[in-house]
Amino acid sequence: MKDRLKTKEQLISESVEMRQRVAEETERKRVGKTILKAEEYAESIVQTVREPLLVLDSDMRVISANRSFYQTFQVTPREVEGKVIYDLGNRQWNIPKLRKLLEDILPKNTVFNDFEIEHEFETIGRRIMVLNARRIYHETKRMQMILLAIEDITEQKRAEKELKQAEELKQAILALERSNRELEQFAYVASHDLQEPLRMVSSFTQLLAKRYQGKLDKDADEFIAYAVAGANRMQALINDLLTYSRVDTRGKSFKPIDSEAVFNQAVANLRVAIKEGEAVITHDPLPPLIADDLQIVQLFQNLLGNAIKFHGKEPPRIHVSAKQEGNEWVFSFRDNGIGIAPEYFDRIFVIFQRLHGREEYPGTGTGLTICKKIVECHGGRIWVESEPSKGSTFYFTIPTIRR
Amino acid sequence: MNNRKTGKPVEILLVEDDPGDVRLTQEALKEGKVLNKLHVTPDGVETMEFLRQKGKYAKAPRPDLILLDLNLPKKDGREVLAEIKTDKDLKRIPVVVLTISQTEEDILKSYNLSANCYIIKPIDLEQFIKVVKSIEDFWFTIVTLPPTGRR
Repeated sequence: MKDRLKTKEQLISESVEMRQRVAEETERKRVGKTILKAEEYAESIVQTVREPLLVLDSDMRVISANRSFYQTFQVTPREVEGKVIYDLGNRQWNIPKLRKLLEDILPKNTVFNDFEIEHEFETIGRRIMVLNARRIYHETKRMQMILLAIEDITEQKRAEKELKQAEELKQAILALERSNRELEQFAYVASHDLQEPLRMVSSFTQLLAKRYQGKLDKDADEFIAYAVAGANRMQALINDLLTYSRVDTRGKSFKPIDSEAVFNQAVANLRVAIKEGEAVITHDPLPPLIADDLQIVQLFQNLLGNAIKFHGKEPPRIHVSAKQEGNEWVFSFRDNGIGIAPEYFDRIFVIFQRLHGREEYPGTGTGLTICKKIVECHGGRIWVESEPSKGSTFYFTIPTIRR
Repeated sequence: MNNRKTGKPVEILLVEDDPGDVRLTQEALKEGKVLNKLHVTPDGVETMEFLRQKGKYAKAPRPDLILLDLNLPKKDGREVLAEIKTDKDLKRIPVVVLTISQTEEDILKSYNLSANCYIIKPIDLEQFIKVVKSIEDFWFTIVTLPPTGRR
C-alpha cells in the first residue's frame, strides 16, 4: 500500500512538476510558432517587396534572393544561390568601394544607404542602380546576415535628366525671348528716339537748301545736297528699322483673310512702280489664310516690289501661286529679273545687307528682312531659288492651321 | 477775329522744349498768311505761369491758340492739358497737341482730356511747314473762336 500509494507530498510535487513541464512545453511551442511565424513574415516581406533583395552571409554568398531580383536581372535561382555576390553576372557588383561597404557591415555593424552604380549588365544593358544594405539577424540559424536592397533608378534618372533638360531649355527659351523682346524694344526706342534729332538735321538742311540753294557758291550747294541726301537716307533707314521692329509687337491679330484681296491691295499700293516698270503680274487662285492682313500685304508688296525693282532687260513678269503641302501653303513669287547668285541666298535676308550700290538700286536692305520676320511670325519659312540673269523665285510657307 | 487786315496779331503760345522745333515753327509761321505773335514756354510749369500771368509772365497776353508738345520737362504736356481744360478761365482756349508721338495711348488720352485736336509732327520739312500753315489757317480764318476776355 505504501508503495502504491504516493504520499500527499509526492502527489503535490509531481503535480507541480507536471504543470511546470506542461507550461514549459506550451511556452516552447509558442516560441517556436512565433519564430516560425516571424520567419514566414520576414520571408513574405522579402518576397513581396517590389525591389530586388539579396540576403548574404558573412562570406558574401547569396543565401536567398527574392522574386523581384530574379525578374529584374533575368536570372534563375540556380545561377544565384550559394554564389559569392561579386561573381554574379559579369561581376557587376565587384566594385572596390561597394566591397568595402558590404564587408564592413557585419564586423562594424554599419549600414549604407543609396550607393549608386551605373553598369552595363549582362542581361538588361546599361542601368543605374542604387543600393541599400544593413545587418539582419537570423533567429533560427542564429547567424548574422546582410540584407541588400537594389533599386533600378534608371528611368527615374532619365526622367530627372529630361526634366532638367526641359527646364534648362525652358530657361534658355525664356532668356532668348527676353533678349529678343529687349532687342525689339531697343530697336523701337532707338529708331523712335532717333527720329527727333534726325528730324532737326534733315529739316534744317532742307531749310538751308530751300533758302540758300544757288545763293552761296557751287561748293556750298554740293555740301548741302550731300547733307540732305544723308539725312534722307538716315530717315529711310530709321523708318525701315521702325517698321521691322513693329512687325512682332503689332502682329497679334491673326484672323481669316482672303489672300486674293491681300494680293490686290499689294498691287494697288505698287501701281506707280508697276506702271513705270511696265510690269505684268499674274497669279493663280490664292487660298484664304489665318494671318495678320496688314503684314501679309506688306509681305506681298515687298516681294512684288523687289521683283519689279530688280528687273532684267525685259520688262518684269511676275507670277504668284500657292499650293498646299501637308499642313502649310507654299507660296511662290517667280520673276524674270536679274537673279541672285547662290552664295547670297542667305545674306539677302539679313538686315541692311545689300548686293548692289545705291546708285544702281535704291533701298535700305530691310525689305526681305521684314518679309522673313513676317513669315516667321506666322510660323512659316522663306527662301529663294535663283540663277543669275534667269530670274528668282521666292518661296514662303504659311501654316494652314494656326497653332 | 484778329487778322492781317486789322493789324493786330494773333497770340500763339508754343509749348516746346526743343529750340530747333521752336525755330522750325517760327519759320513755318513766317510763311503763313496770318499776322501772329509767337510766345514760347519751354516746360509745363512755365506754361501754367504764362497762362495764369504769374511771376515773370505777369504781363503775358492771353493766347488765342496753344500749340502743345506732350513730352516736356518738369510738368509734361498731358498734365498741362488736363490743367487747362479743367480751369474755368482757360478751358476755352483751343489746344492743338503737336507731337512726334504716334501712340494710340497718347492720342486717346489727349482727346479724353479735351484736346481740340491732335497732330503728329511730320518728319519732312515741307510737310511740317504745310501742317503749321494749315493749323494757322484753320484756327484763325475758318474757325470762329470764343470772344476773348476772362469770363
